[in-house]
Amino acid sequence: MKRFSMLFCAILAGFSLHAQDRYFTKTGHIDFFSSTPIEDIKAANDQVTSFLDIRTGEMVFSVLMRSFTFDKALMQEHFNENYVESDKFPKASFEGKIMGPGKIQWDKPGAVTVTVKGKLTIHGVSREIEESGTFTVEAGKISGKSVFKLKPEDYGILIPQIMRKNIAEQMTITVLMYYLPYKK
Amino acid sequence: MKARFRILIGVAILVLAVGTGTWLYVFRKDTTDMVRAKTDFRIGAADLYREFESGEQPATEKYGSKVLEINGQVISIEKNEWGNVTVTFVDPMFGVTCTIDSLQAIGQAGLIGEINAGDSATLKGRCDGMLTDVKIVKCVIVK
Repeated sequence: MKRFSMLFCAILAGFSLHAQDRYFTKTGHIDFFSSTPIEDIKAANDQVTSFLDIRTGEMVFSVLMRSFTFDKALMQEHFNENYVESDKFPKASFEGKIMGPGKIQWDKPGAVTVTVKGKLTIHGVSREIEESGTFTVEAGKISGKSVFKLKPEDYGILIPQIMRKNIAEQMTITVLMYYLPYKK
Repeated sequence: MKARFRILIGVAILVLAVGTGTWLYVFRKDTTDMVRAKTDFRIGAADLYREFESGEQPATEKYGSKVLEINGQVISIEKNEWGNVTVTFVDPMFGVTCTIDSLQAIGQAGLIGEINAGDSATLKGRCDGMLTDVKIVKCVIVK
C-alpha cells in the first residue's frame, strides 16, 4: 500500500525541475455510471489526487475506493465488500503520459483533445489503456476531462449472475480534474 | 373466529414491519450523522499523519472507516470546485485533509467562517485512508 505514496514521491522527483511545469489536485473528481433497464447506478469520488507535468506530459492519479459515494448506502456496502474488496485493494491508480504534450499551448486559453496512454490499476489488476481526453486552459487554470468505458470483469471484479441484469457490462467513467500549480 | 382474526392482524403487522425494514435497509441513503456519530479515536493531526507515514497498512487497518476527531493547527481552509470545504493540517500535500461536504458546509457556514489558517481546530469525520495525505471525509467542525 505504501507503493502509491512512494509512487507520487518518485514521480514528483522525476518531474520537471521547473516548478511551473508541475500541477496537482487533491480534490479531483471521478465517477462511474451503469445503466440497465432495471436500474441506474452512479457513484462519485471528489477526493482524487493527481499530478501533471505539462512539459513531459506525465500524469498520475490515485484514488481511495472507500471514498466513492453512492445514493444508496447498501450499494456502497456491496461495492466495497463484495465487488472491489476495498479492505484488500484500497486504492486504484493510473500512471501514464499525454501523447504529444507539445501540441497543447498551456499558456494560452483553449481546449485540446489528446490521447493519454498508461497503466490503470484497479482491484489489484493492471492493464494498459489508451483513451482520449480534453485539456482546457482558461484564465491561467488547467482542467482535464475524459469519459471512457470500462468492463469490471477486465479488472477481476466479478458480478454474480443474479446481479448481472442490474449492472451494465461496461461502466462509463468520467474523470474531471482542476489542477493547481504545485509549489514545493 | 376471534383468535383467527388476531393471528391475521399479527401476521399483517409482521409483514408490514419486515417490509418497511427491508425497504429502509435497501433504499436508505448514506445519511451518516457525524455530529451524533460515536468517536472511535481522538488524535492530533500530526500524530495521525506520522502513524500513517511510518506504517500505512497497520494504520489503515486501525483507522480505516472509523470515526476520528482530529485536532491541530489549520494550514489552509478552502472551498473547492465541488462546493466542499477542505481543512488541511500539517502540510498541503503530505498531511491530513478533512473534507466537509457541500451540504454540511452550508449548515456549518458560521463555524467555517470563524476558522482561519493558523487557528487551532477540531474536526470529526470518517477516515478513508492515505494517498499523499490522510483523507478524512464527511467531516463536521467540533470546535
